[in-house]
Amino acid sequence: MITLSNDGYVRLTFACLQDIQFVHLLSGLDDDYSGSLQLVTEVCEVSGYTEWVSCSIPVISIGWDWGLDVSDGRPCYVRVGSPRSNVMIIDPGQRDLGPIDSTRLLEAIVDSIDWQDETANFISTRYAYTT
Amino acid sequence: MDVASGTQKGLPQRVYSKISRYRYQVFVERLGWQLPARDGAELDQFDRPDTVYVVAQDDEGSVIGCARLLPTTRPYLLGEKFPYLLNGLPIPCSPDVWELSRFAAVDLNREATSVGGQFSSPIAIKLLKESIACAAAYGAKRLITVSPIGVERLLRRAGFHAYRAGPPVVIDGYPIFACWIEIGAGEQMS
Repeated sequence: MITLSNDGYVRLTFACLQDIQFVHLLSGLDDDYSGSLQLVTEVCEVSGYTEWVSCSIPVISIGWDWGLDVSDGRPCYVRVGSPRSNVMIIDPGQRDLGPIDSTRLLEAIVDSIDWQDETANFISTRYAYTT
Repeated sequence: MDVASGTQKGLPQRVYSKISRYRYQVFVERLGWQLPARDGAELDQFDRPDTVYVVAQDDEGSVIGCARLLPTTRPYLLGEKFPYLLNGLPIPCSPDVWELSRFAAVDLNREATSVGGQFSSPIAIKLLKESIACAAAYGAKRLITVSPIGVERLLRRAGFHAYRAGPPVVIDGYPIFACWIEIGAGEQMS
């Protein structure tokens, strides 16, 4: 069961959360690198954020930061830091796990999502270089 | 950096007009927000006699940061303009809940400071802590804020128990969201 509480948290168990599908909402670059990606030809730090939402009601919102890892020769989007969300995970006895433990479990959810390609495509389109 | 707070009448002389001109420079000129402005000053219907301001100034008296606090027992920005950011919950109306808005921490005298990068600066973190302490002094136990999503990152890095009220929405080209900030009691974020 998923409930939207008066304090704004969406409460559900981790098992329930694992069954929820998420879809991409939007992504962006951190402001210092808001120029065209085609101009990023040297090794430098490129970072940004990505936002996803659940297909459930009440809506679950998850966002996290990403960085571009080019150490392999091919650019790869990697999660940086912990996700941010409106979720409070509860145990089977309906008790809050708390924000820290909820965030740790959300990391596992985010890492199970195949988000990199969709985020990369959105970024490429959003910041496409035009003459 | 000096931080002062108070209503329009409670602030030091000329600081209120400095705040409105600073807000114009940051939100209208640099961020391009569509806000009511006149003669280089940004003020809206929520700048009332009971509105509380928190302002940071440098050694020369220039404003380098500001925030606005409103009780949710009277009209406020989120409740009037952005209730849909609450994911279906009714807007808060309680003396325990105050709204934080028009938060900015950009030193306009330093060209290297980007408006977008303000949310990671030491000024921003200090101003945020002062704003939360000020709200608590007025009886707030929770804050709600409508902000760019970078503010959530700042809040978490500063160790506050802050969480979004729902998904962000793009407004005038910027992803904006509503964020809860728990004051005092409760677990701090690592």
